[in-house]
Amino acid sequence: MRCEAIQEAWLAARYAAEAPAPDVSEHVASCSECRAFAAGQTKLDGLLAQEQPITPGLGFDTRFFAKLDAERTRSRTRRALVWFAPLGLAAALGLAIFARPHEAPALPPLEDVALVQDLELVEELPMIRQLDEVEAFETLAQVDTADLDAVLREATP
Amino acid sequence: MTDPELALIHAFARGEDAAFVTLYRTYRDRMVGYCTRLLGDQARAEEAAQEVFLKLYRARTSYEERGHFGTFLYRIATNHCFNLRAQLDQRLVERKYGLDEAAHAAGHDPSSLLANDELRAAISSALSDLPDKQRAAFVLVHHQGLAYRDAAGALDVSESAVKSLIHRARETMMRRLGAYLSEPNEVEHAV
Repeated sequence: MRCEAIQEAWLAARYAAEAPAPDVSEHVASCSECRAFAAGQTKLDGLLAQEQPITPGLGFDTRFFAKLDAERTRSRTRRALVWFAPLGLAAALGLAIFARPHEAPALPPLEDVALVQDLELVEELPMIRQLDEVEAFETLAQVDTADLDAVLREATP
Repeated sequence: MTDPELALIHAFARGEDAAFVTLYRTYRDRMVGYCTRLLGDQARAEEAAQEVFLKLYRARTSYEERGHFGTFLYRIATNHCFNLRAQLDQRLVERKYGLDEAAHAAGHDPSSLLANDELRAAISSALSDLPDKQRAAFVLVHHQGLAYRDAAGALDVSESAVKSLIHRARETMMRRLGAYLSEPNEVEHAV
């Protein structure tokens, strides 16, 4: 546990570019584990220092500023919406109140529409039309001819 | 926060886009480097760094002065990269094993590694082995040059937690890269 705290303090001093505190230095000098740790960490820094710096690739700025432009446009649109949305809403309400559209005729229930459509289809059938004619003939056949004669006599001067 | 950055962030908050561009130029390379080391993939890291700057742009009116501007920006970057990393974890694990094989296939001669740009691959692979917070603390302090206190602010942890994270990260890095390090024999210089 003590070694871990010493090593942490040793690293902190190294990153702060300061000499380790005297008790830390004394411990490292006398402790084989901490000595090995310090030596290994120094080597590690040497290896890490050989790494090439990372730089943005070609076109990074162009891509970013294109995204920024899009962001600005979106931002302006949002601001415009915030300002104009209430005006638009008011205008829509005004139109609704002062220029009411003609009331649309009430539509029949869906079942009725279906029934009418079925009937229209049925009327298209020639046989149904013939049946209608037969029915009209039968109605005429049932008329009493004596009654007809009487009507005709009364009508004739 | 340094005075020039304070003035810039205030100008930016007032809507001066030129101030934002100056901040962008100041931190662009650092953000790309930071995101690359956290994500292990430069193309993805560049997208991430750009998104960090866009988040900064959107947050211009809500920025609160609570420490260095850089710490604030690193906090945005850290959170963004952690989220991306969580989403891409499986793919990164697969990539890490690919890098391991490449590094071992090239042998352990540091000069040959440098010549083949594989040192970065080996270091990237070792970094990928670290838990998120250890990796972020290590990169912030070692590569980005932040003081422990500022790294603590960026990671939202205590300074003593950063000490511990750095220690554990460097122990793991030393083990993982041990093959590329010569035998420790400079104890006196190190102390």
